[in-house]
Amino acid sequence: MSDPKLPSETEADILRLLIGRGESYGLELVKASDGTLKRGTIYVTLARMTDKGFVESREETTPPDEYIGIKRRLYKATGLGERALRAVDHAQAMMLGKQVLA
Amino acid sequence: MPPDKAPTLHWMVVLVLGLCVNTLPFLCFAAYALDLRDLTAAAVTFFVAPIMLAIGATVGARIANARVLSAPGGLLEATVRWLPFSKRGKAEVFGQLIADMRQDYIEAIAARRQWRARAVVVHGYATFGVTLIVYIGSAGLKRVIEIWKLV
Repeated sequence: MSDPKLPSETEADILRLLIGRGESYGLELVKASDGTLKRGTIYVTLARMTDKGFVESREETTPPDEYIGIKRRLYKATGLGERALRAVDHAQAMMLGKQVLA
Repeated sequence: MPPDKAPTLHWMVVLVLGLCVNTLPFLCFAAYALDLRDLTAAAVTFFVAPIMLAIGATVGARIANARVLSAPGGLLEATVRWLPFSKRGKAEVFGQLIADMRQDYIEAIAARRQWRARAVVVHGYATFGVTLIVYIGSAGLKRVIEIWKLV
């Protein structure tokens, strides 16, 4: 079984986007991912990442749009998330390096 | 026109045109009833006037090409309230999904893309279904792993 403290591929994609863009809505992440992230799974994944401590979220401070009626949440990567992403990227680079040498 | 102002403006157009269209028939009915001092005619007046008002409002809205907007996803919100999920799951997963759908819907309406707006709603409902399956599957798998670890 993989180490639960390491992000999956989708989680790593989300972390990259969050680190690159800063605090973002889930919908913004889906649009910025060019089809990598799906609307049907993004919030389940974000909830799981929050449980793991990779991201943190907060409700927007401005009152919700009268028409939308629901307060939207902003997500950002935590320090742990950034370190986990660096570890994954480093591991991938190492693997690629080994393949090239072989 | 900002999308959040649209419903208020549409209501005002509907109200003004509806009143204009109905003023004349209402006055006619009232005069007819008072003149004859007939209770039946008066009763008819009070029953007919609201119907005429409703028809007038609809006609007025058609003339003004106005439509009162209601937020899509009301049924989904009701469904989420009924589902036996945690408060956090409801707010952070399903609530956000509905908010996203409404955001896209507003953008499509503001751009006067009616078909795009309809597609957003259909897509929103489909996404909701997928999320429901993923959420239940994910929660179930988590529980199985917990039990597995205990055993």
